[in-house]
Amino acid sequence: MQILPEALADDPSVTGRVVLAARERGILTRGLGGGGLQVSPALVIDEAALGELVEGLRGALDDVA
Amino acid sequence: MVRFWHPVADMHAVSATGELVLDRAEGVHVWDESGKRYLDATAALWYCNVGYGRPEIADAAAAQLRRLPAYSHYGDLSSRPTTDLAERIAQIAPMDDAVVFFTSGGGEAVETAVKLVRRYWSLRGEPRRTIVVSRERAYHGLAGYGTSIVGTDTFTVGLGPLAGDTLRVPWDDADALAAAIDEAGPERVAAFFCEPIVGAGGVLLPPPGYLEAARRVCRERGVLFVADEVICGFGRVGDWFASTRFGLDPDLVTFAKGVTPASASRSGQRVPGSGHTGTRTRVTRPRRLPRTRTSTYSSASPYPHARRRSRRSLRRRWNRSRRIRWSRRCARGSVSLRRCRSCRRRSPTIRP
Repeated sequence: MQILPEALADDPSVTGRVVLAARERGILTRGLGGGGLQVSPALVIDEAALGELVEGLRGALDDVA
Repeated sequence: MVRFWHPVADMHAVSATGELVLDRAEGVHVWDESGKRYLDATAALWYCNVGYGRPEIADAAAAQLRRLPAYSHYGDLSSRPTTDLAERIAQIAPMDDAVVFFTSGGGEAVETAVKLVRRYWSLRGEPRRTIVVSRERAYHGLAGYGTSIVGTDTFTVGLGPLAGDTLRVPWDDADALAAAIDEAGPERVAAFFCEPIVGAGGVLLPPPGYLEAARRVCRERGVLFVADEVICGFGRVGDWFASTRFGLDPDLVTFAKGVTPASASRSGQRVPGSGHTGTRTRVTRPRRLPRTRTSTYSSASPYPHARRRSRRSLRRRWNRSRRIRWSRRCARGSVSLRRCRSCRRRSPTIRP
């Protein structure tokens, strides 16, 4: 997942804030180079957990926006 | 004061906010000490492809710890899990006739790969081929050579001089790669190290045609192509290896995650053609494998090999009849496969 360059330019710390917001929502991720967020769950992930992942990350982005 | 010095961390920030101490894991979830559950979006930094809490892996590890936990694999020494795992990995390698060198993690795999490609050219009578080319935004671990070819300044600030004879090129431009090699002189360039998909640098997919063009640039100039698949390998990109998916036909592959904890146990390189780097079209194989001078226990320790054998569930995929015909004696594990004359007679792929 990639943070938009405009958002990064406005606030270079935005990636870290999204990571912390995601953690609050029960998603463990981390920032990568260039404003990326790592999304590479175990390959055994099922549909329900994928939904949990997407909802958590979406909520984290909304929290920081 | 936090006494545990975390890797890749701002320890002032960690000391201020405290550690997040994880306690247990199952499937795709982990729990911290307070009992809060998290969905682990990273598979613990890309490594845990098969999910947490697999009893077959835990059982295999425990059994091997009791049987033979670790030993040096210098010289002719081996252990059954190590020998078997190398055979199994060779079966899925993205090149023919592969051999496997085990290390302690991805960083050490890159470390050994750089030494292997330089040693290769030395043995081939071209000792001036020492330059290693890598890409901007690339990550190749944080050991000595890896830090010297990393494509992000963050990891090199304040370290002073690093290993020499390295070149950095744009991550997405095969013409720039060709120009850099030509400017340095192809007779000086040992290898091009390439993550098929840049990982820690931001998960950058290769532009269409880039990898194929970069591979062609290397082949035309006699430069070894090293696919760093520490992240991509073992299913992360849909095939066993990205090299297979993109048709790269690499001379050497580094791997780690998916088959080991990221840095706690084993990984390795796969070298084609009886263990020698070199494209099959032009290679005149050295008559012997170069003796490798690497860390003592890195290629050893049957315990993690036993765990990996289980982890990847390769037993089901292991088609003994295709390449290896075991004699009854070897099937019982009583002698080394290579030492068994009966096996060698039955299996043309086994060399003494």
